[in-house]
Amino acid sequence: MTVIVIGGGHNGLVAAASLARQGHGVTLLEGRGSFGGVAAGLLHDTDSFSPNIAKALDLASHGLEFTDPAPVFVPSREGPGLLLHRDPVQAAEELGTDAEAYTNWCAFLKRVLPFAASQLDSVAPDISTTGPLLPLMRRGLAFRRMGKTDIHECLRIGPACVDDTLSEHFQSPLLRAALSARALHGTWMGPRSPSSTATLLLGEAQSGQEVVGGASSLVTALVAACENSGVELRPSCRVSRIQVSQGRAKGVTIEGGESLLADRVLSCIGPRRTLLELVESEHLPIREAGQMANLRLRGTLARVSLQLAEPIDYACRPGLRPKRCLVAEHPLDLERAFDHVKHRRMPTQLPLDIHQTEEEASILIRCATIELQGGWSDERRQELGELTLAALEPYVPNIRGIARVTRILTPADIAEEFDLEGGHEMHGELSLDQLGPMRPSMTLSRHATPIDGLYLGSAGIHPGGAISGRPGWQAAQVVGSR
Amino acid sequence: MSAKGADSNPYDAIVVGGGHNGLTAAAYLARSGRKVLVLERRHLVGGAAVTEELYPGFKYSVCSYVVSLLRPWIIRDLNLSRHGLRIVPLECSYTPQLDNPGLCRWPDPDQNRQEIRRLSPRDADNYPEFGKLMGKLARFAKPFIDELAPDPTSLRPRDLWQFKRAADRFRALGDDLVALQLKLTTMGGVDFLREFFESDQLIAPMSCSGIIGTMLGVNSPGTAYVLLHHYMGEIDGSSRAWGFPIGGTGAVSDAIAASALEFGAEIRCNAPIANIRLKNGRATGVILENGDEIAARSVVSGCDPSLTFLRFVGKENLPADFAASLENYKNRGSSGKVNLALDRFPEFVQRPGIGPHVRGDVAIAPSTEYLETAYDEAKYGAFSQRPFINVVFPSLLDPGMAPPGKHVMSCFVQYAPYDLASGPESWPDHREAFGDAVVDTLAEYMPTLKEDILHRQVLSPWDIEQEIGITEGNIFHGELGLEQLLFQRPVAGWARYRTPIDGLWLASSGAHPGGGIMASPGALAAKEMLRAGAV
Repeated sequence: MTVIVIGGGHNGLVAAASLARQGHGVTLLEGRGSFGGVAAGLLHDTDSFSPNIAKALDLASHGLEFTDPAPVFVPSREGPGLLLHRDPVQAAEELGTDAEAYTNWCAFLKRVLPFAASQLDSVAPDISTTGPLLPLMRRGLAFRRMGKTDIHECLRIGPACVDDTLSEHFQSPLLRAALSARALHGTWMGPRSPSSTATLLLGEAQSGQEVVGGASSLVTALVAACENSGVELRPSCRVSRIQVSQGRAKGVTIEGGESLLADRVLSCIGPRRTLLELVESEHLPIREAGQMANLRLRGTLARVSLQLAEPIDYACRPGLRPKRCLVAEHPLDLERAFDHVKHRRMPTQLPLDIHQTEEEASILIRCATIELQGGWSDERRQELGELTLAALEPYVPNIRGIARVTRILTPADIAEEFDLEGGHEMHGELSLDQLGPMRPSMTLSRHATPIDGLYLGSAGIHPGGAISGRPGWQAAQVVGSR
Repeated sequence: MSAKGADSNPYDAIVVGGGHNGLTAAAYLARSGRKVLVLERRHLVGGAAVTEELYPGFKYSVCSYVVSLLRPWIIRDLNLSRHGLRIVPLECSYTPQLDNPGLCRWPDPDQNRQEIRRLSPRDADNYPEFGKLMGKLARFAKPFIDELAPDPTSLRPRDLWQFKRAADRFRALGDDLVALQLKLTTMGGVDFLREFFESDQLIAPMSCSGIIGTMLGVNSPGTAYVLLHHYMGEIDGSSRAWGFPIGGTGAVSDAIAASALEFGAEIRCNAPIANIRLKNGRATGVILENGDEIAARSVVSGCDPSLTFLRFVGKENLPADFAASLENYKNRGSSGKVNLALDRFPEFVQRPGIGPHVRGDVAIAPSTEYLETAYDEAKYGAFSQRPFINVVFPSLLDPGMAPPGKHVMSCFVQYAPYDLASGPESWPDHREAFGDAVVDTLAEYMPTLKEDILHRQVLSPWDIEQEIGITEGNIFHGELGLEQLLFQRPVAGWARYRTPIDGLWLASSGAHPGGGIMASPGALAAKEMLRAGAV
């Protein structure tokens, strides 16, 4: 069977490699000049990449190695800050009075997350009213096996806001800020938004070891795996149309007019763009068209790159020079930042997610709305760079002396440069109504579409997430099995 | 006192707290021949549903001011109509704007279409369609407020059967409505409404229903589902959202009290209790603040869960995990009340006159941005300078509420966070400033308002806690968030009115199905007690 995979982001690469290893003839089309999408130069975190997929694709033979994630440092203006190790034993010393609570919290996660993780490693359940009941009941029973106390706790905290949940356990605002920041990735929420605990659990369920060398090493390994298994890789090849005839996908037309035919088409770009822009509207049922029109993907991500003369050294902990750092001293700092998103304003006090190497720092800002009133302009872009330095200055007084801003990507720039609709790194906000069997909608979450032979496999599909590879992998299994 | 003496359980049940739910529970128990005593702390029954003449000739529905979901079967069972209950429907929902006539939503579809058309022809077309969809979902959701909360974690046959019935009903909705129901339960009000409507002037007042009584904003996930309440309400058998009881909301309480008395219940006012009396971990009666002890086979609390358990029972007498859950229970009063006595009717500048547009509720909700900003202030511990206000003029619907030509104006105000940054006990220092913010806001729409005011009563959530006794002044006895609803209200596994203390039952808005003048918790609790043979 021949398959065209649209979009060479990490999910496209995973899907292409998997399909090729199943013995299919795979062509991977990427509109940009290079592969990897948001994994190639935008996002930092690789700890959600599925180790099962790495194993199945034998990425180790292409140089992929995993390691325990680096601790995150949260600097403070009044005190030594917090160096947060994920492992509770390592974290204990830094956490002081919160150490026991953190151990209990980690133990709770360890009990309840395997169920969530198993859901993330399988195709979304079919919850349509005509669907079979047995698989649903099986999942229900698996959930029930967690035991009543933990079930009650999951159902109670899931819909709650992450600030409440964490405040029930922890004293330290630094710790609460560090944990809640993660819950907000890919969402349009602040830590006071109900259901942000659910996204916290979702993130935790995906997280494990991280890739040595970061996201770019992962992309290198995935590209090598594709090449090695015979995938035809075509960069700078932008699809302008998915060809459909008699309700069936036949292939694609690429910019310039070339037509490529295949037995199946798997789109690993956003579901909305796939269905509303690449498919002629006459081929798409009105229900799915409506669902896609309502999909929410308001990007809030921006990035500032710094060239460093010397590593960033935080005044509250001289000499530490951490690889990972979160600038936010209190969950309410994150909430205030989200207030600006909500009101489509330029953020003022920026929480920062910093990833630094010897000479460079990449700083992600997650409170810059693509819907900015008046739009993004050169001045606004410069302002964002200035605000970033201003946010760092209280913690790194010499920042202006050692750092030079080399690149600023506003959400609008990210939308443009990474070909992301809404500038959204996950092709759809993470929210309860856009997760699981509802991601991106009830009829599209299981990879198949109303158009025969057309499948979806980006992060906009269950289980979503950042650089996890799961949607692409599961899509490849579904495509391969039909 | 019965002839058997003080310790031989002369009462089958003592109801603590004479709010509308406590009274309802008492009425149902008395109706089944049980000997019931209601103890109310204040000088009158009704709790938050009271009418008081605070200024000569002017009667205020002091706290609760409209009814929507008062269950018809309870009205019938308790003969409330015969006991004087009369509810008149609100005729309009008016949202004034400063620079245009604003929006009136009427019961009449054609009139509605004309109004909404001015804002958006597309929205005018979608509005009735939206109503139909919500109506269908409301029919699915309604049984939940009339029966015990289903427990999805229980494996007992009775619970599995109930869960299966709910699941069957859910699947019978069909795919599109199932998807819509899932969205409705999880989305923010504004996001949900934007899937149907484009005009912010329409979306803003519609989204308000989701924030009433909660410490959430119109964009907060989980606030959409309350939209259903508008399509679940029934007044006199017709599905109308909101109504005003003739005589104020106190008239509802009075009618229930009259019914309870007729069935033989005893009601004692000015009888605050100090504790629920326990013996070997079992509730055996109550101890009044004056030291008197009254014994009963069962004690039923019409008070909120925090007050009931943490104060009347005491943390030390509760199982540790239950106490811990209660300490995490979110009360979070977020609303206040400003009641005004007026010398004459203060007309709206953009829609003058005393027409049908003011014979309903008036929402100060000019835009979603306005509402969200109001929430932002409260989030950090300040009352909103420009709050969301829901106004009703009871004297237009019931002339008995004010002297001829004069009026009363009831303003439900949000946000007034119980937890001010300077602490809840600092409310007395901020109360009048809060009242001023409300009047200033309203005066922008009603320029003569300030000179028309004869008397002003300002109630912060702290005042509501002091006067009515509700913890943190939360009118619903606890946030109506997904995590505190259905089988989790107030605590997972304890949503069926029974409590970890044998002989103690919870029958208040802090139990399933929650707040509003619904009377369901009281009635369902009493039925469950009778079924279980507890009285």
